[in-house]
Amino acid sequence: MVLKTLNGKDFKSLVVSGAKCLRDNMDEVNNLNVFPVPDGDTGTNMCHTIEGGIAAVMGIDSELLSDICKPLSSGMLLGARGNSGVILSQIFRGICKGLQSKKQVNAVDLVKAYELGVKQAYGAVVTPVEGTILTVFREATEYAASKVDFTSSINDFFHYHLEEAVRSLNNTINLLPVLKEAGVIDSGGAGYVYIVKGFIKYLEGEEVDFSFLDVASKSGSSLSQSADVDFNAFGPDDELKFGYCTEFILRLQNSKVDIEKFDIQDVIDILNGDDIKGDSIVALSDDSVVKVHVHTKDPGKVLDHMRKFGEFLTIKIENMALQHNEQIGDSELEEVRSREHYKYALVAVASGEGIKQQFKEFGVNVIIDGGQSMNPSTEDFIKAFKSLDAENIIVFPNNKNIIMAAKQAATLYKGSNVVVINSTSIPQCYSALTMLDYSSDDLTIIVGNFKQAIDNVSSGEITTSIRRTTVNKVIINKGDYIGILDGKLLVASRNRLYAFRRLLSKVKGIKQKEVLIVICGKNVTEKEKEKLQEQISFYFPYLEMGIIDGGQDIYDYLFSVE
Amino acid sequence: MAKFAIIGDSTCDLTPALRKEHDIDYCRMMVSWQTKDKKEREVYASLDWDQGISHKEYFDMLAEGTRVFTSQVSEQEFDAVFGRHLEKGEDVLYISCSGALSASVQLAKKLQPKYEQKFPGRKVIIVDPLNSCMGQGMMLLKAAEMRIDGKSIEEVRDYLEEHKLEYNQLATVENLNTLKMAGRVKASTAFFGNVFGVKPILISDAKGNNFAVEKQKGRRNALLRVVAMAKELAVEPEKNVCWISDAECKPEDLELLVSNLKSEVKFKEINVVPMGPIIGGTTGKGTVGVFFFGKKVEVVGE
Repeated sequence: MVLKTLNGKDFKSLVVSGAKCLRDNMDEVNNLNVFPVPDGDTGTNMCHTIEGGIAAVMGIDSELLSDICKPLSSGMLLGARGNSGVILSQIFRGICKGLQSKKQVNAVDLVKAYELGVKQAYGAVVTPVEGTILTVFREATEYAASKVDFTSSINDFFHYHLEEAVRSLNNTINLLPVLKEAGVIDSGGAGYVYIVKGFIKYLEGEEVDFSFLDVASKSGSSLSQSADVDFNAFGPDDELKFGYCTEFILRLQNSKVDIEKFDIQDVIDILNGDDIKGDSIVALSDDSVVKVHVHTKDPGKVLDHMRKFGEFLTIKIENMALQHNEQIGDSELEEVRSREHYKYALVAVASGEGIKQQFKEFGVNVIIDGGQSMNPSTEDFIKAFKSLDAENIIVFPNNKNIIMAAKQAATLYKGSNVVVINSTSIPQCYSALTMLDYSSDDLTIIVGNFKQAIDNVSSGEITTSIRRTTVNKVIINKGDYIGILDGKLLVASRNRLYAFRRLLSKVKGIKQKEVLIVICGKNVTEKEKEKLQEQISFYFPYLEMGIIDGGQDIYDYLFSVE
Repeated sequence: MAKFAIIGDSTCDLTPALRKEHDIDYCRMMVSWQTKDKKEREVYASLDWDQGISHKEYFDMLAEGTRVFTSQVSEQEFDAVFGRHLEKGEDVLYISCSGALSASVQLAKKLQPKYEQKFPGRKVIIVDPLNSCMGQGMMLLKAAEMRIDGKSIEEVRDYLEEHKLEYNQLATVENLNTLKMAGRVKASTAFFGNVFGVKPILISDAKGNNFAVEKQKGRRNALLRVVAMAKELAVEPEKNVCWISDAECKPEDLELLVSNLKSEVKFKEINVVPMGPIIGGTTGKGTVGVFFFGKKVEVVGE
């Protein structure tokens, strides 16, 4: 079929078809990993992200772009995982911004929307790196823009877009030295190309297949209703302890406010105010639509106040005693039960039982299960924030691929002041936590101490190579133990302890270091731990050493030295 | 005006030579532990290290994990030490261990009427210095200096009461084991979690407690932080002596501390003395404390 214009229904189908094509090729995208470690997850992350958007529009059967774009955009924002996922969600946020005021668009309008996507995505990244999904999307958009005019169809636009996206993807290897050395193209860019290929399949008449979306519906938005609620959780004599989870979408009315000058902060101030005493507030606005989530004991007052700004599109009010009950099986949110008020609370991403336990002992309030091969979504972070009654929340993402989702969540969540620490490894987080000290009662000092602790740490990882390759001039055989120091692969050896020692000796200024913390993975035996201790105290007698049973997969050793 | 004796106790870290030079006496506390062959051993907490265990042996024993128990100055010890001066017709000025760390000062105050009754006309004056180690030691030395200048016992007391919070302590420990075992330091529980490489900075706070005021990662950082804090807190260092109480620190650690104090703070003089068995027994081998005259301490531990 040839589309002269694009409406909401077709846009939704394009995205579904794109998502399917991406999922079909997910493993291939995951395997585009710079290091020979089976922890690539770009494909998985991008799938979860786009499917988060689809879940939000599944029930919407409208021809109007304006009906599809907003839920699609916010579903993706919340579903975003990993850096490529966050960037993808920002790309679609920009595109949707360009489309959402329209019922349908032509190819020229579509170019404008895609250009907004470029702007939005580059704006969301602190230091945009070329040779990534950003480049692929931008070049494909620019090329299509140069080719499309008023005579072009929607199909023309996407054909040009794909043509250039493929060329640009193949060129990523020349833009990023790490890709060149590893001999791979950029994984995020590849994921994006599969999405566009999916678009083309739809345009070429392939049936839209929704069956793969079973997975997507599970990763859907928390704002969707849950089917089975136990009404017995709130009996005739129960006291209203948790209040009501109140969510609504409001259409600002010109007759009530000046929509141009409307500031979402006015809404937040009211929800925070003495009359409502709301908490876990999330409030977003986009043009004339305001979306609010708040916990309050008096939802009636919330509704009264909000009608000063506009009229409701939807309202959902749930007794949290019921909602609460549903969450109890949810291990990562077990802390939700106490609802203790904190001035400062800590949220950390971790996997491995030993590490989680240790972090809890250090005072981490909520641990989000996740890590390198399992990146939590923006929504996972928001859920964690919501589970806390805290004035300030300090977040440790502990992986460079999780930082963006954490920051995106921090921007979206208005219930607390959220600070994301740029921690890129578990050992870094461990070191920072040992310096935890709230006694100053000053957020700047507390966060400053964490940052300083992290800056002084070198972190190392020992894992096993899954293929023969050369990285940083290090020749690696399949099955070798490889050592990665602060993100750089520096050693490879058949002997795990030797790899450890060699990697440790590569730490800059090792002789001035004093403290070594080793987090052992689940494959490390007691005997090996003893040997490690002997060797370290022999070769590095000046290091004070602490060993922790982390129980993590893939990485046999994680260490920090400072 | 009567002559008066200046008396400290086992926590004051004054060596035999210093005590002799300045004519300072001291009351002994007691310290006990279980030996390797499971026998209870109790000795005087002697600053002369003449009880059959050397300074090094004592702190090595602590490093191996032995827990020592300390006890305050006994009534008999006060009777003997105060008595020998009162009998000679001297008044007594007792500058005790910080009352927040030892009950010796309370006992002395309780016994005061007894001595004044037994030795009519004699004065027993007690000062709680809110300090220990060389903080207490410096105040004893100051008292001796004022005595030579002809000041009365009351004048000395008044001076010390007015200035006692200006004697600053900055101490740090090699590891947390002894500290945690003895549980004598004030700090929030999160402060001393199961952490590797973390070193607290301990001050003597405005109530005389040893308080972990902050923490540093690694020994070197802790020692350099002590120097930086000394620089900030010292008053007229070029005119004053800095004292260091040392519990068998590694020579290179002590050297790092002393050389940096010399270059950064420029004290008139820096002297190192061995840390006594009482405070050292709760902080462990490798504890080092820097003491100097400085800004008034206003921090009060939690």
